[in-house]
Amino acid sequence: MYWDKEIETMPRDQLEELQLKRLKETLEQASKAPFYKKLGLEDYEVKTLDDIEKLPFTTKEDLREAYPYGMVSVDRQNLVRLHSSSGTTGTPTVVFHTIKDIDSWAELVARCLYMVGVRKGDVFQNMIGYGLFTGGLGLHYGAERVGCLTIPSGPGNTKRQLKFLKDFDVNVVHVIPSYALYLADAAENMGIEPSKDLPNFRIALIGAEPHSEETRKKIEDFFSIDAYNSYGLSEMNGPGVAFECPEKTGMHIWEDAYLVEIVDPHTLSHVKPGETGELVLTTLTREGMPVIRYRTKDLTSMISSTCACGRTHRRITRISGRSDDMLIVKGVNIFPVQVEAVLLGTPGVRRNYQIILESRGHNDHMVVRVELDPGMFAGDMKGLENLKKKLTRDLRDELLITPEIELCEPGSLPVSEGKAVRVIDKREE
Amino acid sequence: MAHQLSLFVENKPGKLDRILDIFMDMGMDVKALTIASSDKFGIIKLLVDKPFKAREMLKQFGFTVALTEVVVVEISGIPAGLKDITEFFLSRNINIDNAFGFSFGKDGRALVIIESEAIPEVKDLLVENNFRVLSDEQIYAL
Repeated sequence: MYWDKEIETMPRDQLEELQLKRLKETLEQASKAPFYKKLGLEDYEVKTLDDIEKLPFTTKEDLREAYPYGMVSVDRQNLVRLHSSSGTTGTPTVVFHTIKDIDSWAELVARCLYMVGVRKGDVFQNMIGYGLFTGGLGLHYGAERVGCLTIPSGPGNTKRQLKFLKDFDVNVVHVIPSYALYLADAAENMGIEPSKDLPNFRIALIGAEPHSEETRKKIEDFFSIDAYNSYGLSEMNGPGVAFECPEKTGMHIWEDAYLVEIVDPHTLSHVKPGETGELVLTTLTREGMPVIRYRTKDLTSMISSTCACGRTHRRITRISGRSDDMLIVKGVNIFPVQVEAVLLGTPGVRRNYQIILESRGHNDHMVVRVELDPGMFAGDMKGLENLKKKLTRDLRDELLITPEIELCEPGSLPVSEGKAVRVIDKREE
Repeated sequence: MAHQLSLFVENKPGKLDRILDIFMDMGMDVKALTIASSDKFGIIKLLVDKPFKAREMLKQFGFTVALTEVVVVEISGIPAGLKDITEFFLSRNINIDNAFGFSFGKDGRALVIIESEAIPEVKDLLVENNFRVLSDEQIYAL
C-alpha cells in the first residue's frame, strides 16, 4: 500500500520537525546561488516553520532574470540535467538537477505511482512529451524505479498509441487529459472496445493541464479504468509534487520534499485554512537549485483533515485555474475549465471548444465555439436552436455573463495534442 | 416512405460545391434541394435517389448528416391540390413543421414534402384517405 511507509504516514509533529530541519539546510544551500546571495538570503533567520513568512518570494520573472546559471547553488560539475518550462515567450526558465536531485525526484514519482496501485511488472505507456518538458522523463524515471516495463511513446501518433496499448497489454498510461479524450474518440472510430481489446488497462495518470471532474469521469467511463489527477511544475522538478490517492479526494502534496503555503495573490499573506489562493512552494530536498517560496500562480486550497488512506501529508484540491490564465470578461473572472465543465455536461456537443474574446464598441464580447456531436444531429433546425439556447443558459449560470454560442462542424476546431490552447483574445488594449 | 438527407454545415462558401462534387463522383441524382441558414450555420436538405448510400458516403467524407422520414405527396397542383391536404390536416389538427413544394410538368402536377412530428401516423392517414404518398423509388420514377 505504501512505497515509503515511514515517510508517508509520519506523525505530523515529526513531519514538521523534519521540515524545519530541511528548511534550514535548504536556506544554507540556496544562499550559495548568485541570485539568493544578491538577495541576502543568508541574513534571514528561521527558528520555526512560521518564520517562512519572513522570507522573500521567488517568481518566474526572478528565474528568468537569473538565466542562465544564476540559481545554481552547487559547483556546475555536479549538475547532470537541465529542464526548461514550457514558456513560449521571452527567456525560458531553466531548472538544474544533480544526481541526488534526479534520484529524489524519481523516488517521489515512484511514491505517487505505488500509491495509485502501479506495481512492478506493470506495462506503462508514457504518452507525455519527453525532452525539455519534465512530464515525460519525470514519470519515466519513477516508473522504472517501481519496476514497470516503460514505453516512452511520447504524445501524438494516435494510431500507434492505440496499437501499443492493445498489443503490449498496457496496464498504466500517463496522458494529458485533453489527449485522453481525443484518444477515446479515436479508439471508438477504430472500433476498439476497451472491455474486449484492453482487458488489463487499469490506470491513467492525468495532469499537466487543468481539467474538470467531468473530464476525469469521461476518461474513466470510456476505458473502464481509474484516472488519477497529478500535479507538478518544472520549477519544483515536474510531476510528483502532488498526486491523488485511491480516495480521489484531493492530491497529497509531499511535505517532506515541499513546504506548502497558500497565499492571497494580491496581498501575498496566508489565506485562512481551507480558503482558495495561490500555491507557494519551497523545495526541501533539492541541492542543485533550491527554490524558496516559489509563486506557482496555480490556484488551489488546502485540505487539512486526515485522509482515509492513512497518509499524513496534507492534500490540495484540484487546481481551479491559474492566477494568470484567468480571463477577465466584463469585469468577471472566468476560467476556461468552467466552460469545459458545462460542455462536458451537455449532450449534443463534443469536448473540443474555443473561446474568442472581442471588443464590440466599448464592451467585451465572448464567443464560445463548440462542435456539434454528429450522432446527436436529428436533421432539424429546431433541435440546433434549442441546443444553442440550453448552452447559452447553462454557461450564463456558470460564468455569470452571457456568451454567444457558435455551433461548428465536428472536427473543425483545432485539436491540441499538447497543452490545450483554447482562448483567442482579440480585444483591443 | 420517402427519406430526406439533412446536412449540418457551417455557413460559408464552398460547402454545397463540395457536396455536389461527391454526388457527381458517385452518380447521385438530386430531385430537390433547400438551404436554411441561421447565422453561422445552415442545414441543407436534399431528396436524392439513393438516400442511404448518400448518407454513408457523406459520413465518410466527414459531414454531419441525418436521414429523416418525410411524407412526399403527389398532388394535382398548387394551390388547389395542396388545399386538399391542408383542409385534411386542419380537420385533424395536424401541424406541419416544415414543408416545401414545387410544381412540375405541363399539367401542373406538384409534389409537396412535409415534415411533421408524427410522420408515420400522418403518412398512414393520408394513404387511408387516398392521397398519393410516394416512396423514394416512386419519386425518382416521375
